[in-house]
Amino acid sequence: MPEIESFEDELAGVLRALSPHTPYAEVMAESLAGTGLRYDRQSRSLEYRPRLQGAVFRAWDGQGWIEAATSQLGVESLGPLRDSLLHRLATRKGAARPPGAPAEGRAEATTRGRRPVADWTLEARVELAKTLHGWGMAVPGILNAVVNLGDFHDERLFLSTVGARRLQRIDRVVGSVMTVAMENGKVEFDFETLGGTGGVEIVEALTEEVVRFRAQEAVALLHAKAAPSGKMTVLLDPGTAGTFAHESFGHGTEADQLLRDRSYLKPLLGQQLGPEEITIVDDGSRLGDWGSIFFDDEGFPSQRTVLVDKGRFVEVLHDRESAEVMGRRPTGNCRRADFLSRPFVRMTNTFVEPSDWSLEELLEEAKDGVLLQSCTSGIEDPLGGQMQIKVKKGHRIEGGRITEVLPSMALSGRVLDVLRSVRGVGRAADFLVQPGFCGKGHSDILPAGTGGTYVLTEAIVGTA
Amino acid sequence: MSDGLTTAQLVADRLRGHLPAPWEVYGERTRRFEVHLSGDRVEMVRGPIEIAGFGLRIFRPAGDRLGIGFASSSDLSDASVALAVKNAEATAPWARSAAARIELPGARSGPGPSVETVDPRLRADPEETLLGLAHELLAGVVARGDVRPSFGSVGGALSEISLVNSEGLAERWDRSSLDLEFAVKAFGGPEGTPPGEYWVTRRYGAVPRAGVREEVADWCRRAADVRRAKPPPPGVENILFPVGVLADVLPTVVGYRLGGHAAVRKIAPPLGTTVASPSVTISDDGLLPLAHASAPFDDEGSVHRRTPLLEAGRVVGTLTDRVHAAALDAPSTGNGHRGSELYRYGCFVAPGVSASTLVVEAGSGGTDAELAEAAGEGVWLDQLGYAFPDPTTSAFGGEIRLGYRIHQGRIGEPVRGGTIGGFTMGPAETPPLLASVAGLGSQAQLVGRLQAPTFLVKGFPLATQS
Repeated sequence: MPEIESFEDELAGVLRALSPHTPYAEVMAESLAGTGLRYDRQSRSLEYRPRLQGAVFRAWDGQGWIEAATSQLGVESLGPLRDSLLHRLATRKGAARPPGAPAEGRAEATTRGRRPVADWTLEARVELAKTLHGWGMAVPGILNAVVNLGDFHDERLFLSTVGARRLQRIDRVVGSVMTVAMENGKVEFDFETLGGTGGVEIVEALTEEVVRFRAQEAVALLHAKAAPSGKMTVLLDPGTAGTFAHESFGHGTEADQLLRDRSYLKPLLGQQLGPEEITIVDDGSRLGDWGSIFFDDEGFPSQRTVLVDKGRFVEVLHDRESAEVMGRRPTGNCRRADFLSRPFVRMTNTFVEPSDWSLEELLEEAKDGVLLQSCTSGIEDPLGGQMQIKVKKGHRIEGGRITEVLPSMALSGRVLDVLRSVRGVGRAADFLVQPGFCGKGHSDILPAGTGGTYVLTEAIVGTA
Repeated sequence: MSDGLTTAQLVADRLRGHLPAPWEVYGERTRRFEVHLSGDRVEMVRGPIEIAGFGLRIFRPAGDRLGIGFASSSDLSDASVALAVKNAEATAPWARSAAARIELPGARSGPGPSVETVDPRLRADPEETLLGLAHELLAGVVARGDVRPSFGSVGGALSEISLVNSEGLAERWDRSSLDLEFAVKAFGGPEGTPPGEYWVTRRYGAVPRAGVREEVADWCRRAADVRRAKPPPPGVENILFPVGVLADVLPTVVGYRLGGHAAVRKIAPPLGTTVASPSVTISDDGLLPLAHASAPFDDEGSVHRRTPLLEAGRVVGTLTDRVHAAALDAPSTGNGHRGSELYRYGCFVAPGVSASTLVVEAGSGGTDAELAEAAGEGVWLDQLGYAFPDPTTSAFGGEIRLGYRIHQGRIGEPVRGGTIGGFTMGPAETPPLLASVAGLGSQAQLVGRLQAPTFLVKGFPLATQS
């Protein structure tokens, strides 16, 4: 597949054709590739991810944006696409300029791994998967150990009619082991997932110790008693705290939701929402994290944006339109899932910043409650401010100590109540950012990192 | 959609004569339009969004098993096809499947099953049809004074699907799809009370024949109910699950646990096992007219059909694609499907086993009001935040976005908050959903990949603040 830059002249030619008919137009061209491997006791599937190339053009018609996209970048496809946009622009609905100032200038960036993905042979991948699988299967009671190893290569070229140019090349690597136990028809599992931007070194932290621990937890879950339910003290592990930061809080800070009056946080900007312990950040510029990007899809650089600063809600995430309306600057958070998808304000890496409580201190402070672990999912309620998070397992906390294992649970409650009830936040040594995929719109799914450290608070727990 | 060579034929013509059998090419050409709404205005019109691509599968020995190499691309050039062959050949020896052999379908002697898969309005003028639908959505809300449109989108696609293999199969069929997302906000009431929002997502094979006016009116009422909903009472254990909630759980869980992928891994309940109440009978149907998943064939070229899965609560069938059929030494049930959360377009994903449309036979419990009478006390669920079905364990659970309290046998006041969940099937400390069905409504409805009546489930606890 030709490099995306090789189409630059043709893409620029379409922009030149549009330019007399619109105050602004841009194109985002993309090239996607990668490899995925799944290995379990019954089968292995190893495949190259779809090699996709295409482009989406966006132009301002005087009242709103129009877009058209194609997966064929030759002249024979770009010509009709250009013509369809020109046809629409011919019936422009007004003379207003597009909202916000556009990005300008030229820049390029590429992720660099200590062990480049390009050098990761098929044989080496299979060998690693086999080893990880073997460690899991060696634990008595394990029925299956499912290993997934993969990489995604994403190149994006952005051009605009004001001369902006951005080129970014990002490699993402992810690895997971899911250990499955079964007894008397009951099936349970636990899992470990690591991912980031960079090279193969990212999955090297899937050690034998980690895999065996997950396998032992899966077996223990077979005998887990029913989880308690009701409102109680909860200690969120770093992954669960990250999902809270992203789903329960972060989606309400996407400024397009504020413009639509769809964020319960809108009237609270500037107010103290929680204790000084709690700081929540979105940062797409962190090297090596899964959701990191160099530029967003309007051409603005990614950055660190503090959303909650020592408990005070201080900022939201912007694209050029929301930044103009709210008198702020774009924060580098306008993202498309791919060239076939529309842009939205999206998070990058969203996390709870560490404080200084050790796990032991948090457990002592909790006394009795539930430690929530192995978060699997969450969903936002940006208007209502309710939260819903699901974890695969947990443990009871009794007398300040971790005791029996508990099966999957769902967390709910009002986000603001959970924030106000924060009593302690863990330390930097326990900090991590995990890989995940975030959806917005009908199926616009893109990589987003979530993370943090332990958070002690109160929430409603139920079976899930 | 086209009169010339299909995408699969274009690729297959470059393989014949030098790529050893067996192999298969799946091609797709899709043209999509979208209308995006913000408040009461059209925020953005997108389209045409055109994508074409192919997925190549080759089958080679991998020790004592079948190795399956897969590669796909949106680049249809000679160089790209050659690279796909190279990549698929490179991965096949490492990609050991559950089967030792495969039998691909050959050329058909007669036409395949007849099923309606294309909405004529979407075929004739997709952009105008979608704009009309968008305006109908807005009009249904704007006419009321106490609710406003919040946001939404309608997207429609026309796809030409093509399939060619080394055994002489050459099929093509067209398919339309429609996805809709719409949210309505209700206002009014005491100062400081936040607006209530009712948010729906729907996937169809066609624009609803009766339009959406009636549904929009219902959504507006629900938005007002969200606003005044209170937390559910503690101790609730009788739940009415309508098809809209079940559609987020059953196709994923039942489609996996009663499928070949789970069977070869020994986590499927064996044939003859009782996993549900005697009133529950479920089959899989790939031929329901204009259902989202319907087509004459599955994505490997096997004929779609109706496959019984549960009869009176007992397992009687297993869904398979060609690979898992071979592994289980049984014929394919035509459940080899492509598409995933990450890749919306099927040509970029190798097929796997999944349900087409699950059909749950209606019972004799009557209307939802009659089921509520039978329940006595409980909650009628309207929406969960999202049920997050886990196909491996069959667990599901979510927060109640909107429900209605059932008190003294009547559906009454709206409730919101708390969580509900458990296991869908299998032994568990808390009785699983399907085994706890105490009544089935008399009328089934189609939502997404499920056609089912309302379920009355007893002994399914709801967790609340208390």
